[in-house]
Amino acid sequence: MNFSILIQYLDVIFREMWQRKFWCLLGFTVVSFTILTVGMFWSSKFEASATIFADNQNILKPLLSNQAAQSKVQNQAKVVREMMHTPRILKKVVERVYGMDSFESADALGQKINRLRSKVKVKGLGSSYIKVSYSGKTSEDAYHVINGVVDVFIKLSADEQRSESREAFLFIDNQVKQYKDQLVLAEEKLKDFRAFNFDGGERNVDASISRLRTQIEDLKISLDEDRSTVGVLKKQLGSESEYTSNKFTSDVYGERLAVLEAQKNTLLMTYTQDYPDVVSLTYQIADIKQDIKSAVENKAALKNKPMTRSTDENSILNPLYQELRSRLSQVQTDIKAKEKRLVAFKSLKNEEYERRKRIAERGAEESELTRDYNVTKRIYEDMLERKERARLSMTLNIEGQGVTYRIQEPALPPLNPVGLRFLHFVMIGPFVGLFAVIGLIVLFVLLDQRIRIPSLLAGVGAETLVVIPHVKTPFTKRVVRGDMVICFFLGCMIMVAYVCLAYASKIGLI
Amino acid sequence: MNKSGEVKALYMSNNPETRKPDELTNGRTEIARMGEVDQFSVEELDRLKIISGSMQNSKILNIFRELRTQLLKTNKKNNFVCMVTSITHGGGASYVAGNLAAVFALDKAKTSMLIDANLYAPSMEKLIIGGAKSGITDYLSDPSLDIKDIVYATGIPRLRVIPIGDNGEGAAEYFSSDKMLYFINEIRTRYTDRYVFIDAPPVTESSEARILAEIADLVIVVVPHGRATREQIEAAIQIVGKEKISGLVYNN
Repeated sequence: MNFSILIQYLDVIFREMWQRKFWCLLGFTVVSFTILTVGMFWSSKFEASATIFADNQNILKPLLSNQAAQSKVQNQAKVVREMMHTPRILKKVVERVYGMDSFESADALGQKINRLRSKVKVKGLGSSYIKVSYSGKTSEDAYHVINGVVDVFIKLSADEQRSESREAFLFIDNQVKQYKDQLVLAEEKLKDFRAFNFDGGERNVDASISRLRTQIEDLKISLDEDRSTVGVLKKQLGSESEYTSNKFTSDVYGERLAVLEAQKNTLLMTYTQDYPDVVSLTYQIADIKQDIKSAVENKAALKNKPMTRSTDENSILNPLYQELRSRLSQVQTDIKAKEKRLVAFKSLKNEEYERRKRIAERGAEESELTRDYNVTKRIYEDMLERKERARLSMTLNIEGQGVTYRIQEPALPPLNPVGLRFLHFVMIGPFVGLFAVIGLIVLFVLLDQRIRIPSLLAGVGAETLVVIPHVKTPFTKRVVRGDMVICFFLGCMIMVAYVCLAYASKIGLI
Repeated sequence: MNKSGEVKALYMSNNPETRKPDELTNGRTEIARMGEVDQFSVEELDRLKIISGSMQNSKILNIFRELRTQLLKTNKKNNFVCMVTSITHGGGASYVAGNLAAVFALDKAKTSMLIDANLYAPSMEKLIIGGAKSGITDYLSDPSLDIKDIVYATGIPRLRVIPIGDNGEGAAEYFSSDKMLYFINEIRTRYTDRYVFIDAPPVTESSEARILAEIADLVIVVVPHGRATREQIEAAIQIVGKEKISGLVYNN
C-alpha cells in the first residue's frame, strides 16, 4: 500500500467519522465512562519484597579445603521456591500471620494456603541472591506475610540442615564400627595362619633339594668307581698265590687282625656299635679270625700229610696277596656303606619334595588372607577419614557455619500500590474511547463493500472520466461550522463531566 | 414574474418554428443575442451548485471542462444527446447533468439543452427564473402542446431547460413512445451546436432510465461516494450497454 492510498484511506475514515459524529461522541462517552467505572471498583495492590542471600561460600571453606563436605546447591532460587511453596512452611506462615484460630474450617485454611502459594513469588538475582515478593490488598498484609514467609523459611532450613548432617555422621560412624570388626577378624586369621607354619620358605627347600641331589650324584659316581675297583682287585687276587708259606699266612692274618681291631677301636671312639662302618669292621674281624683259625687247622693238616704240599712249613702269606685282599675288603666295605647312605639320601630328598608341596599349598592360603586383610584395612581407613569429615560438617552446621540463608535486605511496608491505579484508569479512559471509535470506523471502512476510493473503480468495465471533489457551498460551510461548534461543546461537556466524576470518586464522594 | 415574461417573449420571438429558412444559417448571431437575457449572479449560481466562468472554485470548473473535453473527444463529428444517470437515488446525477450543460454553455459557440427526466426527484425548475408551467411529461401526454411551450430559458446564458412537468404517471410509456423519439430528434437536429443532456433517474432502480438510455447517444454513470458496490456498478454498465457508456463520474 503506497502513501497516497494511505492518505486517501485516512481521508475516508475522517469523513465517515464526521458523518456519524454524534454516534462517535456517544461511543466515546460510553467507552471512557465504562473504563472510569472499572477504575472506581479496581482494588489496588501492595507489594512487599525481601532479598535472601544464599551463603554457600563462607569464611571457613578455604581453611578446610576438602575436609568437610558442604552441601552443594545448584539452582538456589528453584530450591527456595520449592521449599517456600511447601504446605508445611505456608501453614506455619498462615498461623503466624493470621493466628491459629482465624480459620473456621480446614477448607478455608487450605484455600488461604493455596492463595499464598500463588502470590508468593521467588526470583533468582544472580547466583546467590534470591528475591521473595508478595502482593496483598493492604500494605500491612503484604509486609506481615513476606516477613513471616522469610523468617519461617530461614529457621526451617537451618533446622533441617542440622538434622541432616547429624544423620549423615551417625550413619558413617556405624559403618566405621562394622569395618573395624571385620578388620580385627582378618587380622586374627592371618596371625593364626602364620603361627602354624613351620615349613619355612620355598627357597630353603629348593637349596636343600639341590644339595641332596648333588650328594646323591657324587655318591653314585663313587659307588661305580668302587665296584670297578672290586672287579680289578678280584682279578689280581686270582693271579697271586695266597701264601709264600703257611706260617706267613697266619702271621699275615694276625697283622691284619690287629690293624682292623685298631681301626674298629678308633671308630668306636666316634660312632656307636651300629654305625655301618663299625658293623662292617666287626664282620671283617670275625672273618679274619675265622681265616686264622682255618689257617692253623690247615697247618696241622699239613703236618699230618706232608706229602700233599711241596711247600714246606716255612712257606708264609704272600704280602701282595694280603694287600690286595685287604684293599678288596676295604672297598667292599665302602660300597656297602655308600649304598646305605644313598638310600638315606633318597628318602631325605623325597621328604623335601613333600615339604615343598606343602609350602606351595599354604602360600595360596596366605595370599588370600593377606588380601582380605589389606582390602578391609583400606576401606576402614577411608571410612575413618570420612567419619572425621562428617563430624566436622556436623559441627559446622550446628555452629551455623554451613550453607545457610541470611536476610540480605529485610522487607519494608510498601508505601505505594503497584500495578494499575485509579489515576491510570482516569488517564487511559478517553484514549481508549477515542481509539475504540476510530477502530470501529476503520473496521467498518475495511469491511464495507461500497466503494469509497475512486482508484478502486479500475477494471469495472468502463473508464472513470473525472472525479468530482466534495463541493463546499457557503451554506454547507455554515452547516459544517455549526456542527463543529456543537461537537466541540458536547466534547467539552463530556470531558468536564468525566473529570468531575473522577475527582468526586477520588475524594470519596461516590 | 416580469422577468419570466420577458424571457418567454424573447424566446417566442426567436422561435425557430416561426423563422424563415435563411435565418437558420444565421444561428450564431442569434445565440449571441440569447446571452443578453437576465442572468444569475455568481452567488446565486454558487447556491444552486452550478459552475460559472467567474466562480472562485476553479478546481470544479476545470473538472467539468475536462469532462466536456473527454465527451467531445469521443464524438467529434456533431452534437449528441447525453443521458446522465446514477447508481442510487440522490447519487448526484442532476448535479452532474446541470453542470455539464452549464459547462457546454460556457462555450459561446455552443448551446446546451437540459431535459429533466428524473421523475422521482425533479430539480431543474430552480434554474428557470420565474418558474415553469409545463414540462416534458405534459408535452408527451398533451397533443395540444408544442415543443416551444416547454423549453425555458434560464439564468445561465445559452442554457435551455425542459422541466419534468406535472403529468408524471405513466412516464415510462410516454418515454418509449414515437413522439418522444420525434421530440429528441427534433431537438438534436434543430441546431447542430446544441448539446442535449437528460437528467435520468438511477439506472438500476427504474425502468425509465433504461428506455432513455436507448434514445440517448451517450450515457454517463455517476458513482456516488460510499453508496455503490462494485457489483452494482457492473450491473449498471451491463444494463446501459458497453457501446453507449461514455464513462463513469465519481462523485465525492
